[in-house]
Amino acid sequence: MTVARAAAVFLTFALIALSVVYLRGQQTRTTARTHDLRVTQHRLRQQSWELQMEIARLKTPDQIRDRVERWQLNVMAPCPGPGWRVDSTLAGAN
Amino acid sequence: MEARRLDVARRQRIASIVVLACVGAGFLILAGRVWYIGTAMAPTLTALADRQQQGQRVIPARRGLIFDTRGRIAAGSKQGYSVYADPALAIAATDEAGGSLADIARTAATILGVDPGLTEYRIRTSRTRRFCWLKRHVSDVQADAIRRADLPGIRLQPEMRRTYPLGTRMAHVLGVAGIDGQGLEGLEKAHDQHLSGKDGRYNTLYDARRRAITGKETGTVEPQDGGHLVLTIDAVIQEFTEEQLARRIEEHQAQSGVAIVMEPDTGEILAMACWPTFDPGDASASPPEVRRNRTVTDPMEPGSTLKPFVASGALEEGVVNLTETIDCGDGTHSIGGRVLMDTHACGSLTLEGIIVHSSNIGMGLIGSRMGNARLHRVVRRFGFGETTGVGFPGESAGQVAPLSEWTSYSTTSVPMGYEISVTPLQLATAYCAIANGGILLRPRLVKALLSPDGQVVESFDTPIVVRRVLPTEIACHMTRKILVEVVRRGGQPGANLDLYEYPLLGKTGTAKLPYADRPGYEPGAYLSSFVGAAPAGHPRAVALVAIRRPNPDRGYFGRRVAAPAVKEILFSTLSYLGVPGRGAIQAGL
Repeated sequence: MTVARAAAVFLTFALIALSVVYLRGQQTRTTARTHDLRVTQHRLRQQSWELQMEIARLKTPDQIRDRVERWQLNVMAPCPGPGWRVDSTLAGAN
Repeated sequence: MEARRLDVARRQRIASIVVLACVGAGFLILAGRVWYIGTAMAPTLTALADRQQQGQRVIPARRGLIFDTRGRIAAGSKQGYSVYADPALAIAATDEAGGSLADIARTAATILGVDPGLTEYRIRTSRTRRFCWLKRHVSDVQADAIRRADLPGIRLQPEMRRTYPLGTRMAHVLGVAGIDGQGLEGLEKAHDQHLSGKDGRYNTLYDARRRAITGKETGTVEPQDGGHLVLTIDAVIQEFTEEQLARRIEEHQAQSGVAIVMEPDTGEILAMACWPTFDPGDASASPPEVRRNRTVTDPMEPGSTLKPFVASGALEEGVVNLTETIDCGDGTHSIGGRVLMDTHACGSLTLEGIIVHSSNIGMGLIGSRMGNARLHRVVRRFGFGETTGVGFPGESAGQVAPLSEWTSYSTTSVPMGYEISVTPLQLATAYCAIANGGILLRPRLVKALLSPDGQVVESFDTPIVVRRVLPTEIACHMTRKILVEVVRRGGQPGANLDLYEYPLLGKTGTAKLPYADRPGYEPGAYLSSFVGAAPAGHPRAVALVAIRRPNPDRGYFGRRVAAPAVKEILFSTLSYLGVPGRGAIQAGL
């Protein structure tokens, strides 16, 4: 075996070794990135659930009526509620 | 000299052989040990290593949502945390750092509001284990505090927590979900399989301190969320109903009460309430008897509210007609050796008059004409004595004894609403049959089952006909004439219950309550009820209110105690549903 051939073989092995190291590094980085994305996905999923429940709470008839009264909004609350009816309307009729 | 050299050489050779033999034997022993460890001990050691290094991280699945009929969320889930200890790690960490396990336990217990001594005891007694719950479902503040404290061996476990945005509304319908998210009562139990999700997981490697090594996950299983449920109940109508029920119970210092609002044309239940109520998010704070949905589980003797069914059955059977009069005497009458009494002298009454004045004597006489066989048939035809099929856990069929067990007493008791017991839901469903023209429909609480992504899996929109129970003309006469007159004229002067906007029909009931532990009726204990529907002619809603044990000093007649609540509930419900009232019709709107 000539020196040139030996060098070529050595370089080939070295190149293969470096490629393996590089690919292994890439794999690790990709796995870590996948993990991070999965964690983010779950966190966002949970946050969306929490927000959905908060919106649900704010959309309850009680809450809407409270806000209509507090901010004196010119809209009708989702239900008549206690005291909504003008008693005289019925009293006169009966 | 030569001999001595040979001797030395021989000894050196022997020594070399001995050394080599020892080394060889050593290697052999090591090889044997390696072989033993690699084969015989391998399963045990692999399991030990796996237990130490590997673990599963749970990805919680969400239990399905429960919506009201207009898409408001009545029950949902969000992520919370539970706190657990890794006793082995906590003890090892205190040994290494020289800290005290008591300090760790005390700090954790102070944050969690549990007993420090018990916490330390639980950690110490689980010293060989890697997991021990300290507190389930902690508050967000407690979870943050535990995270900040960074105590060795004390960890947070994400878990889903059931929440009820409407608070106590619909509590008896929704029921209760357990600490692990399984349905225990109510619709949470009835539809547990559909609502339940399946947790996902991924395997991961842990370092010596049980910290996950990023990038070493294997075998991920994605979570499968649970399906959703759409109810027929409207949260707004439920709100009127609960508020009215609570107000009447408070006003009359009653023990408890129930209320139901139904749509007679479809059998849909728009509201279903029991009082006292409870917080489904903290169900353990209320005793089981408070959590029971008494509208379906607790039968009651209906009293006079049963009379319209017997009267319409008598009309259908031809034992009485609308024009003939029946002599109800001066308020006391003896039938078959039994003395029946009315609250006041009624004289001669038509069938309409008997219902309007709620005459026990008149009903007793009609019962005598019908006989037990016809009476039994009529009562069973309206669905009494069988479950309604609403699909609620623990539904009672009520109690209608077999015909063979009925006596001559039954002939006069049943037409007055005694000797049989019915659930409030059975009663409301039977009134729906009268209100819709004579067809008994199955009551429905669930409108649809949805998949986790909101697609309809199964729809229950179509009304389910059980059977025709009355000819249309008799049902219409009841809803347009007789039961309207009950509301207009009633028993006492000035007791008009009619609504101006929506003509109301209905029937009052004031039933005595039996002793719990012996035969007979308890003096001064009543069940005051009223079942109404509006608008008369073509009712869009039927409402039932039954109030148990009102204070007799504040009135106990159904007309006084329960009817005002029904009137308010129906007015609010119909105006909310946009049903045009008399005013709107007259104005041409």
